[in-house]
Amino acid sequence: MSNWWGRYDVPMGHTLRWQIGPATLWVTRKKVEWSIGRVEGQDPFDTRLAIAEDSEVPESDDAEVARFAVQDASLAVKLTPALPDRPVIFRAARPFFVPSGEETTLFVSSPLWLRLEVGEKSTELLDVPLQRPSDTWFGPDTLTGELCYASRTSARLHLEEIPVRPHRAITTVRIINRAGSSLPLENLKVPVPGLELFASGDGQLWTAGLTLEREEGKDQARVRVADQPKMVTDLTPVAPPRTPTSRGALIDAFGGLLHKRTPA
Amino acid sequence: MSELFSGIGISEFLTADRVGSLVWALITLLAGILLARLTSSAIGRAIRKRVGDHEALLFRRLSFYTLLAIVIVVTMQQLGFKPGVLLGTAGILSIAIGFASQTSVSNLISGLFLMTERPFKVGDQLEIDGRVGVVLSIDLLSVKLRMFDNVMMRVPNEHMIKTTVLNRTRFPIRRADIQIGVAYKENTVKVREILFDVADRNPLCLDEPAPRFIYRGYGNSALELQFSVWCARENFFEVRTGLHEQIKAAFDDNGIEIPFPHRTLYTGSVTEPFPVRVVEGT
Repeated sequence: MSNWWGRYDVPMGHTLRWQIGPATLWVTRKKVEWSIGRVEGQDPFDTRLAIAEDSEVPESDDAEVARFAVQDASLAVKLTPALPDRPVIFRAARPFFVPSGEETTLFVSSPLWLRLEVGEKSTELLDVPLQRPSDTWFGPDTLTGELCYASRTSARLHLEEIPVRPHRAITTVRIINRAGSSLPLENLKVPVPGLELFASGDGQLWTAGLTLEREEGKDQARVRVADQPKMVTDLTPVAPPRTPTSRGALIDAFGGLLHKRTPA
Repeated sequence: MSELFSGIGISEFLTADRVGSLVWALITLLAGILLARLTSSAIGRAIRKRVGDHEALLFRRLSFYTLLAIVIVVTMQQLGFKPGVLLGTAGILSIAIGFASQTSVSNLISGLFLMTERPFKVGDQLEIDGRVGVVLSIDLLSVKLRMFDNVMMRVPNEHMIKTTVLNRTRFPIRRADIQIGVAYKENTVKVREILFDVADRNPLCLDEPAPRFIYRGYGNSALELQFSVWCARENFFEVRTGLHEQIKAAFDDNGIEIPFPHRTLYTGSVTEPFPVRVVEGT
């Protein structure tokens, strides 16, 4: 899989087109103007990839087109993948527990956002999801909690089970249960805005590795973010975290324990 | 004309000292009001980002009225009034004014309750007596709202305390209830699947809490259903409108009938059949 991100030059009066999984993006450079169009697409398992192809302006009823006025004569456009601006919730396909004193590593695949910058000053024109994930609520009740994104795919125990897709990034989540009771993982919150994004040599995007540790007598998770995912070696940094994560912070990450606190 | 009370001439009253005091008092009053206004605005602006619009407004008002009270006391002192006498007079005056303006005092006290109880804040969307608007300000005597047709509504604080007020934006998520009627011949299992699929395809509908499908009863012409979907409060109107469109389109695609009211005509005790005329060629 080739890298779809990076810096490209769009010749004056030309249109370049990218196909990143289900998402289509086209960028047209005109005199004192950038015109950007995109279609999100429907199929989340679409793995098509087309990079900076010279093209006509596509015609689509679903297209969102925006024009941006610029004085800069630069032809440069820079695409960068980014992680979502809210945490992502992964649901277990079947009831899944981590017994007391045990640990496990899960693989999850998060949706990606696209940042588009133009010109010598890297003026940001877009920061949008490649495919908008569904909203979801993560909290003990409807009064307290946090608005998050729902992942359409479940967490996996084996990396091979995660489909390779250009519009998703993989996170390894190590879960340690040091509490005296079993940890139900009916849904898991992954704080992706605090993770750095990397690319492996084969073009797959990875986030920094995450460890969620449930301590003795606590229902929350202590978060530890690794510098790089340990599964892969040939990684290059692609995008910094959206929001800095305070290392060792306690967060609500385990949905199964939250609902235990729900008032009757 | 040149005499004031009990024979004191205006020229005797307005000595150079008194004129000087009056001018200084006037300057102190005007400068004080200006300073109070500037200081309270600065306080409001300074804390707005940290504590929010509502608290900033409250602090701004409180600081303004406190400073104004200080300015008035200082001004009165410059005019030669003693603070003790002034406070005594103010007590008597407040009783007299209180009797004369019960409504205003009631609104004032209600306003203080509203500010401390905080059932809503500036920017919240309220429904009062069936009318919906966004809170612009919570003042000492009234709450001002901007209605959706851009009309300002002023509601006296006393009324806000007495009446039922719905705050539509208090909690971060809301439920949109869609009332649906389908024909009796339809398979409700299929209808349920279609509705859940519509919610699933709309990214603004929350996955959790999950949508709910509720039978509301057997209506005159249709099976009455309710489909309840949760969404972020800021997306409420978009979700509600969007779902109506998407459900109609999905029902049309799947041949699900949304019936209109049926009426059966009965012609009396003799149930003769209605005459039917067949027209050819149409």
